[in-house]
Amino acid sequence: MDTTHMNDLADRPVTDTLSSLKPRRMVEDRPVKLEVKSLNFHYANGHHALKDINLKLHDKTVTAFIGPSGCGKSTLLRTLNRICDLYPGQKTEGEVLLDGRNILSPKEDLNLLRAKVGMVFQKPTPFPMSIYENIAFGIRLYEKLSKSEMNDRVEAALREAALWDEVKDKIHQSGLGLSGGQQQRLCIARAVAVKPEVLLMDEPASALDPISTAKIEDLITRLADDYCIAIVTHNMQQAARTSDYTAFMYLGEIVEFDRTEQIFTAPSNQKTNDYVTGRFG
Amino acid sequence: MSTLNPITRRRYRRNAVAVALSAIAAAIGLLILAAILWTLVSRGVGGLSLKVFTESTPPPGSDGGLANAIYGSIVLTLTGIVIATPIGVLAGTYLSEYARGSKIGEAAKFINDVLLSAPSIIIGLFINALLVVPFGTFSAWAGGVALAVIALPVINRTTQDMLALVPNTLREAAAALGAPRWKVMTFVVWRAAKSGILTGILLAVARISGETAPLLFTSFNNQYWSTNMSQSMASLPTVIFQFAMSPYDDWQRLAWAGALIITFAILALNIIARALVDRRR
Repeated sequence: MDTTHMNDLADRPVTDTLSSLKPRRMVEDRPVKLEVKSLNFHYANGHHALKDINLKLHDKTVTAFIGPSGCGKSTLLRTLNRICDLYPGQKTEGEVLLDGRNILSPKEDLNLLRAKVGMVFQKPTPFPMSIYENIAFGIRLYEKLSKSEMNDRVEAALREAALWDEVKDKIHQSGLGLSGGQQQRLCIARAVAVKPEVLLMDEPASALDPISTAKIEDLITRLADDYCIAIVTHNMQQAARTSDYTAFMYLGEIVEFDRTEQIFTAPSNQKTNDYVTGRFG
Repeated sequence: MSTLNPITRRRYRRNAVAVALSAIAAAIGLLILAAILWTLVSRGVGGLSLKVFTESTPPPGSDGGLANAIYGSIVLTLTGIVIATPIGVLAGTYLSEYARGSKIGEAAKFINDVLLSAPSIIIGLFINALLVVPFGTFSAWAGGVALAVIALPVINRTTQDMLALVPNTLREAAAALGAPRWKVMTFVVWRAAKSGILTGILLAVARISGETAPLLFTSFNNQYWSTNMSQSMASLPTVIFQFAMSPYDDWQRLAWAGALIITFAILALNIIARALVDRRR
């Protein structure tokens, strides 16, 4: 996968990584935040990318999506905040219920939805403005704050993303001047600054070095105390380390969806077993 | 070379010939440019004096300068750019962002490219019929509009090209925060393309400040100092055209001085535009 640090972990059986983990959250008592019901997705070129997806994401838990490239993980994530709607000609069928309300309804206000369902992308995408403005931009969209309130919010968001100490002296400099790992944490800060209810992360660490990756993973674990998080990853150790639930996807279908320990130690499906043990994918 | 086999040796020879031919081609282009600049400097410097910038164009045989023509060129160019910039940037934004892939958008892009290479004399005739004939007089307004029509497709096209360079991930990231589309455009995408769009505007300035043909039919020429936009107005290209064709030595000297001024002004603009692009990278 990424680098030496990752490879170290990869050499050890996944179960070792699992046993070294924090105690798992008791997720069953957490309310369902997002429910996907018989979701089908077709791209404009006709490709049937998601096939009859059914799934529940609990509040204040991390759900990881794993599977080989092209299996539909990212596509699934992109239907949950309807960012896929930016491109014409795509067809979504089924239901996605956010707190019981179907967000696939044509009447849904997409901007309000996306303010509630934040997203972090694979490549860091700082806006061409200062670090401060990168974060204030999203807050200003839906809130009118005084200057000092805004300062507090920006600082809180940067602290939440474990970036404050590194940037507090250059907060009015361009966000493009940060390193890749810092840029990605800036993007996470930007996403949490608007106080979303759900956080979607599409391979948030795959473009980063191992130290930045470790920081992002810590961050995900901490953010799970407050948010419902869905993370797509190619890195099985990352899924094992950060998530409470794991969904294994293959060819647009969810093959197996269970507690993370279950998926990595005793999967019920042969294909899941082959994938998590590195036999294919 | 003796150790090389015949095929390799032939390849070396072909490479040498190709490199020599392209070096000669580059030298021809550069030599022509150098010859123009050298002629301009050697002939024009003699005509330069403070008077050139302070006095208006003289009748043959007496002293004078180019002040009215320099003023006219600046006013006409500014008028053209002020009219063309908002229309060009907005049209380019629409074609690149909103009409992408639509039939009307593709047709408009094609027509804009045709306009880009339309002979400027045709544009002069068109504006003459539109703004000179009905009012019965040549005017600086007509000249400014004619230059705007020439600048418009340049600005439109560079805006399209620069917006196309802005990665989609940036648009997605802004939309994912819940930003409505117009805010994504004005706060993020335009800002990302800012220096490129500015470069396009500067290139349009460089293009229209040297135009002669459209001005001959619109703002015509004026021997005297005039700031009246509803009357004919002098400009450097038309004065150069008139003076260079004349048999009088002092007029020809002024024409050379004018040519030198306009060439170096355009050169400076191009260098500034280039520097802006470099800074963006």
